[in-house]
Amino acid sequence: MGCRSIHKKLPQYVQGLLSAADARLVDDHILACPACRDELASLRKIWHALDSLPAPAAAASMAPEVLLRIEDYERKRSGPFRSWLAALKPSFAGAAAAIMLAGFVSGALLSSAYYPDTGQAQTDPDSAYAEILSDAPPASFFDMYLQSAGQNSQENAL
Amino acid sequence: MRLESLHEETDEKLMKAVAGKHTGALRELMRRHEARVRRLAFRFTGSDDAACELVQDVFFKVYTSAASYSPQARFTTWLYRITANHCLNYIRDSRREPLQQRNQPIDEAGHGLTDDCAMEGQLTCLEKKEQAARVRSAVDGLPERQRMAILLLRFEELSYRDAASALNCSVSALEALVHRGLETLKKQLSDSV
Repeated sequence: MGCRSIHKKLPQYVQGLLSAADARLVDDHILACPACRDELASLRKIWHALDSLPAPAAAASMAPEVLLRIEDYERKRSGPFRSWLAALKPSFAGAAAAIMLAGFVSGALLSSAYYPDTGQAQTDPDSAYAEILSDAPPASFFDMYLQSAGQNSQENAL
Repeated sequence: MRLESLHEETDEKLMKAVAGKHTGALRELMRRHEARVRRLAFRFTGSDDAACELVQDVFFKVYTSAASYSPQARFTTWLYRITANHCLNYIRDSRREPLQQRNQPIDEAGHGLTDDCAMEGQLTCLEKKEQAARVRSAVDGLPERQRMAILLLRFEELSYRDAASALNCSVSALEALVHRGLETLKKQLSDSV
C-alpha cells in the first residue's frame, strides 16, 4: 500500500475502525515511513482539537411544536369541507344532517304539489325551452339554439 | 399500539405506527433521538436557533415520509440521512451564514467552558476559548459535505458505511471527503494545535 492509500486510511485508523488486517498494514507502513508517521501525528492532533467544538445547550423538546405542525398539516390535507365537518361537534353535525333531510323531503313534497303527475306524457323538452326562450333577441345564442332545435324537430317529423 | 408499550417497542416498529399516523409513536422516537439530531445540527450550523428549526423540520419529515421508510434500513441511519439533507439544504437554500453565532464569544455558544473557567486559571480558559473559536472557524470554512462527513464520523461515531449512506455516497467517496476536509483543517490549524 502506497503513502496515498495509507493517508486515506488514517482517519479510520485513528478512530479504530479499520479491520485488523488493514490496521496491521498501516502499522507496518508507519514504522517504515517517517512522512506518514508525521501525517498520523498531525491527524491525531486535529482529531482531538475537534473536541473543542461545543455541544448544544440543553433545551426543551421540540415535540410540541412538531405535533402542532403535524396537526396543521393534516387539517390542510383533509381539505376545508372535511375539516369543517370535523370541527362540528357530533350533535351539531346531527342537527345539520336533520335540517338537510327535512329540506330535501319538503322540497320533494312541494314539487309534487306544484307539478302534479297527470299521467300524461311529459312535454317535449325542446318545446319547453322554446317557450322560455321565445323572447331571445335575433342572432343571439339562444335564438340559434331555437333555430337548430326547430330544424331537428322537422327532420324527425319527416 | 398502547401508550405504555411504546417505550418497549423498537424504532422500526414505532416507524410503522408513525406511518399509520400515530403521533404518540413519533413523540417516543423524538424522546429517543431528538438529542442526536440537535447535536449534529448545532455542530453543523453553529446556531442553537438553527438547530431547533432543523429538529422540527427533520421530525416533521420523519412523519410525512414514514410510509417510505423501509425497516430493512436501521432507523438511525435513515434519520441521519434526513438530518444531513436538511442541514445541507439549510445552508444552500437560504444562503444563511453557517454560523449565526460566529461573532459571539465562544462560551456563549460553547456551553460548558464556563465551568472549566471556574476550575482552571483565567489564562488557560482564555486559551481554550481562542482555540475553540479557531477550530469553529476552520470547520465552518469547510465545504458543506466535507464538514458533514467529518462531524458524522467524529461526533456521531458512525461507521463509514452508515456515514456514506447518510451522505448518499459511496464509502470511497466518503473517504475522499474526509481526507480533503482533514487536509484543509490541518492547514488552517497547523499553528494552533
